[in-house]
Amino acid sequence: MKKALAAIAIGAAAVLALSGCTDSAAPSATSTATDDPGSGELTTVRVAALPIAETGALWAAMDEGIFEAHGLEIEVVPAQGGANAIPALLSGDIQFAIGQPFGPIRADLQDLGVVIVGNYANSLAEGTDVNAVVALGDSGITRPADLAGKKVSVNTLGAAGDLTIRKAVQDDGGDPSTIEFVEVAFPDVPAQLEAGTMDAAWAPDPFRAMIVGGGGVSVVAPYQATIPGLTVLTNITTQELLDSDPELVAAYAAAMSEALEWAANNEAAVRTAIATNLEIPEEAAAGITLPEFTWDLAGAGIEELGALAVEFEYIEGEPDYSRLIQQQ
Amino acid sequence: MTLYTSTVVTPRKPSRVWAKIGENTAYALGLPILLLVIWGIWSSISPAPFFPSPLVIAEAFVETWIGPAFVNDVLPSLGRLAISIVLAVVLGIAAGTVIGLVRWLRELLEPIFEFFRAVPPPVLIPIVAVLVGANDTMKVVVMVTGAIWPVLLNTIEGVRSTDSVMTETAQSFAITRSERLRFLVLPAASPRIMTGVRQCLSIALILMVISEMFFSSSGLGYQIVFFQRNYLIAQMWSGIVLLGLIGVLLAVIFGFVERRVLRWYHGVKEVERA
Amino acid sequence: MTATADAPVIATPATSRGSSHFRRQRRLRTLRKVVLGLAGIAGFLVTWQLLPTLGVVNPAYFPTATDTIAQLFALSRDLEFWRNVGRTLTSWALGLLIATVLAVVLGTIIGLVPFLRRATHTTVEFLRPIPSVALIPLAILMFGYQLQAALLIIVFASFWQVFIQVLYGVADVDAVARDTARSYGLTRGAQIRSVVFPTALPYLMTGLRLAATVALILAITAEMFMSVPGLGRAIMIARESGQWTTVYALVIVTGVLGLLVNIGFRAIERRSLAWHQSVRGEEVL
Repeated sequence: MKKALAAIAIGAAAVLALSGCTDSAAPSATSTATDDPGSGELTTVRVAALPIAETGALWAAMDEGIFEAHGLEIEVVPAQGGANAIPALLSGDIQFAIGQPFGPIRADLQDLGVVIVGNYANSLAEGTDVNAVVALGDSGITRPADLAGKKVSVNTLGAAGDLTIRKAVQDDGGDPSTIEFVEVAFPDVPAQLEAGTMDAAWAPDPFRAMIVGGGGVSVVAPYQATIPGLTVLTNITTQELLDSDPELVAAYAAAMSEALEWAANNEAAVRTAIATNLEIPEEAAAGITLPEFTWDLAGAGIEELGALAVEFEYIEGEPDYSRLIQQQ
Repeated sequence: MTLYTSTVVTPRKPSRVWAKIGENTAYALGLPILLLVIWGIWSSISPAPFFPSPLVIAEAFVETWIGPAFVNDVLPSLGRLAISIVLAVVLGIAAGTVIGLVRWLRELLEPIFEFFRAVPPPVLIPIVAVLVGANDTMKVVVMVTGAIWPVLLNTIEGVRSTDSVMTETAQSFAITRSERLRFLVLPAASPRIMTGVRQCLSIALILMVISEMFFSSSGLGYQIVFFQRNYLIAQMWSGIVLLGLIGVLLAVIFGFVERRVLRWYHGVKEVERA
Repeated sequence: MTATADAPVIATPATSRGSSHFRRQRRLRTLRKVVLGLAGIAGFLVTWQLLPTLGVVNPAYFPTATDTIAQLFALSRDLEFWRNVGRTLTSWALGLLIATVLAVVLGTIIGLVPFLRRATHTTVEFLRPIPSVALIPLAILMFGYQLQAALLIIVFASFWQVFIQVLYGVADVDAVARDTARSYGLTRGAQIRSVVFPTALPYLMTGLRLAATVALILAITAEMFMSVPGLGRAIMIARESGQWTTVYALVIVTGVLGLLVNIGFRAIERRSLAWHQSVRGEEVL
């Protein structure tokens, strides 16, 4: 009798507890795929994207139903670091990745068969850029040339960040070879900058806003200073997918191009999507500087980036752009 | 009756030194060479971008590590590794002995220990970096905190497992606590402790790589991750090979040390086996 | 160390007073253990609370213990959190199981055959220090962002812990016991079961305990860097948006899981090694 009572009590408690439960996964991944009257079956496409603000355009476009209209159901895989996206692409587990272009440049030099099929987001050629080098207010660093001889952090060494910073310092008259670059992931930047791990840090929003808001200074926006409007993120896939399933790539290209154009004109929806998916408050989402969403690679500046990389001896030679960049 | 004495002449066995050396080398290199040959054949039959042939890796090895990279990256990393191993072993044995013998201390600290052990280094490292600074000290701290566990746990277990008969004999002979520690507890625990030290070596090496994945711009581990990220596959493999070689070197050194420390233990085993 | 199967049971005052006293003593001991353990945890929490409060670390990036625990309670009402816990524990358990089975089988075979021991020695020492994290791109290349990739990483790391311990354990067999078994005409299988296995069991248990924690750490690390769903991935996503209370709440969960795993394996060890000195020593002395 006692055991039965105890069992009932535990069961009741469990039901009570479960009813009070929330489910944070409910709205996100499964978008409105099932109730689509006339489009027939949808092809699932796995896309790796970083869980950052820029992905807001993709999330918002998914909610808007743009991809379903093209017969695609997008499954966003929150990748961590673009470097692993390329092995994942090569394994066939994901079909597309949204990542920065330096990885594909290096991959192409190793003949890995990686192709940039379209742009995703450019940095801004004027005004406040999407990322910047920031320093604490009392650091005495006010202009790029001041960075010479200092410790500067970037999220990944040997990529666009430190490359453009070097160029910016050089253009301002400083000696970039005296800069000591360290690798600090963006989320760790505010804490480490305060702790003195480095003198200056390259960071995007929201971390850049945190530091500047707390009395820090924005030293230089390296993308804007070297290659204005340089692309931050591109759409990447493999030559193998292009060869084996060109219809899928064409459908994806059409859908993504429409999505990005829509996102560029519907900033509010993008910000809402950011707030929901990253679980940050609306005010924080409102303060993020959004990039320029576009599918067009024309102003992306990838060739200039490659030339800069050769100039600073990051890579030995330029990649085969005709093979690497195939705008769909 | 005459006393019959004579010198017994036993024929001298021919020297087997060279044969022994040859045998040892064959054992040491046999399997690795076999595996290399299989890999070489496989990569020439079906080349895969991330699995280059051993010759390509060997070339990359010479190019990458024999030169300035050795002094700038490998030596500092090895230095930090050496310091961490020494600290981990010394602290592990000291703390393990104390904790193993004092029961209430063990019960006090164990939950906290087990809690911290399970926290992954990539999460712990930024915290350590803020407290200690993102420098060599942080890397050594990370390596020691990870590598100390096998030594600590094995020491605790070894100390606890002291044969009760021997302990009681020592007690009835009125041997003091410290003498008991030195002549009974620690030697009895030393086989277990040595197992722990052996584990500690490879964990320290692994943590050396992990500690250099964050806030670093040089070091052997850092270079390997750098190569990974930039798809310099042959160089990445050459770095892994170098890690393996360092591991073998550490094992050889450990073998010498173990044979010396556990001389009595091996001797007892040998006598038992005879 | 000789097998202590025949250690004399000494008539201590405890046993002579009867079993109820003995049981009471044991309950008191368990109580003391729990109290001390909680005291240790409390001490740690107090230190944690003090660090941001006193400004040693910035509370914006290192929230206080109270804030973090509050967030933990909020998380515990989220179903997705429990699903993540389940996913992490699943990959942990699978990885540990595979690693243990492989290690016991290979370790026993290699440990018992001296030729194999010598032949594989350098290869083992070469492969052991290779960090699993260095193999992450290769695992992703083979399996993509799937569970198998994470399992590869977990198994590779935990395997060595158990393997080395089994090797040592198998080598530690008491020669007298082994010869006795042989002279009694036991078959190879029976010898392994009744002589080798009991000797190696304590070593195996230590190896399992070490491997269990390593497997948990790597399960979470794999989720952090390979986008496999689970607690690790949740930690990374929270990091990206600067939600430090969530990050550290999840870290606490990680630590608690490690603690539970350890307690669990301790219990298993006690059960299976009830006859061995290190466990019995607690009772007799």
